[in-house]
Amino acid sequence: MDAIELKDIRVRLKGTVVLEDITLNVPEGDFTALIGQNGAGKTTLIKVILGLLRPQQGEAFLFGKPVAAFQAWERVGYIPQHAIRVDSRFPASVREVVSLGRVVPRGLLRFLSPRDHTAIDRALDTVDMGSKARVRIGDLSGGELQRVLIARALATEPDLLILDEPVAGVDPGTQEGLYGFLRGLNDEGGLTILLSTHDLGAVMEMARTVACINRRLVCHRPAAEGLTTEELVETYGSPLAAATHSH
Amino acid sequence: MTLIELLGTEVVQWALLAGVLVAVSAGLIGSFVVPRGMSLLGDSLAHASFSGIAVGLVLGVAPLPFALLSAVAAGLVIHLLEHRGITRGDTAIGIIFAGGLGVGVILATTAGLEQELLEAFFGSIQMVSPGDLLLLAILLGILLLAMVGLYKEYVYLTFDEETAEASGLPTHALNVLFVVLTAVAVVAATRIVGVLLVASLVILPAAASQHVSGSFRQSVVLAVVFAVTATLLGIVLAFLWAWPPGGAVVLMSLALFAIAVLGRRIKEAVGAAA
Repeated sequence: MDAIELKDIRVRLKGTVVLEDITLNVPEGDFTALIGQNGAGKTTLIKVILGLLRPQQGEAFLFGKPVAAFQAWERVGYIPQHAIRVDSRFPASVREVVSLGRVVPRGLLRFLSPRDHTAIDRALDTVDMGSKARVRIGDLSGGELQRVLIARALATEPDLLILDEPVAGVDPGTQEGLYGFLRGLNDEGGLTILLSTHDLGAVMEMARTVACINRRLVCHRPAAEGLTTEELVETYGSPLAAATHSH
Repeated sequence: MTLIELLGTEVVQWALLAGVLVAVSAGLIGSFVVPRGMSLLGDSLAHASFSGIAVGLVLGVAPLPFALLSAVAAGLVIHLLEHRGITRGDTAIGIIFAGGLGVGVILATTAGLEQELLEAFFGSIQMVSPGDLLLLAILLGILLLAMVGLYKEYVYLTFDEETAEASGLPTHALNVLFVVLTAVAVVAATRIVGVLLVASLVILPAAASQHVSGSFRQSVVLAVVFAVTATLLGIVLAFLWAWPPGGAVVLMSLALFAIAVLGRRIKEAVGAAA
């Protein structure tokens, strides 16, 4: 079954068409990199998948259900684009932030149970942040904060993880570490991953599938097959921009 | 009158009890209002409650229920104006900010209630009645039930509303309820500190607690502790030196905020040197 299925999606925002004719699927167990330059419509597409934005045309499905009727949100973990810009003055500990991943699975008006705390501990250990559970998030580095936000999504025990530009503002070493870590989750746990990024490079080695968009879907194929020069130019708008983002 | 004698009088005891109820409400809601960047919402709802207070005064009945009604209505109007995209959130807050005060002033001055106007602006600790205390206790009870029951949901909304919504939380309904709860806390606070100085109890203790807390839970507890401390000290000073209670509570809250900021700086400097 497909974790994500998009059929002929068209989105217009403030009079401008930002997505057009997007038909794309992410099978369960896949690790898809959604590639496109800034403004290509990646975040908009993710918002459509999450039901935060209704397309003017077409339909999005999660695990076979139309997004509008989808109820099992605990199956989907989401790490938004602005994750790296979390207010450092926010008075929350690492553990508290990760525990937010159990809010929806537990349900309204219910306290977290021992089972929730086990899931939180496991998520913290998975991202190797167990020893910093009591640290205030404002005292973390950018890479550590990113791992905490991934742990929050993992605490939900999702079947699908969606990350919007998770490496923006993170140094190259941390980027590679993150991609490798995600590939491990995909290999060992069978977690389906959709990750958007405006840069190629390391992600091409870690993802199984690549989907390039620039308002329209430019290409969609196994990452190992790579991208043609024409596809790179179409994705990034110009040969120079394509060359810049490929390294 | 000595401090011991003062604390022995019934009027002061009632006022202190009311102060504790008010401070717990304000400190609790402030812990969420401040990190959400909604500090001025509290002030705006307080101003809106003033028109309700004026209606109560003109009718010659207890003003608190009217204050509550007008603040809740104003909160819902602010939410609607912003949610429907009619105005930006800060503009909606500004409209209610001015409108609530304007309507209240006209009503109160037309009815010749200048003294009552002053008390509504800067607070009053004289003659807290058992009825007042009962109403404040009910308001605090409602607030506590809602905030304890929905604690984890409101922490999520406060930390990251977009992800909370994407996770399937009913953010719209929770936001509407949050505005109503803020109105409840603010109206309770106006009973002691007045309409114009509500920020002293909603914003300052929460802002101070954020500086010294290592976790959100700790920041909530400390905001309540700071608010109660500032209120009790402020009320005692107000009785001792005939200060307006609102002003006295503001001064104590400011002092606590300054201590918290300085304390954090000193702790960081010591940590860096070690």
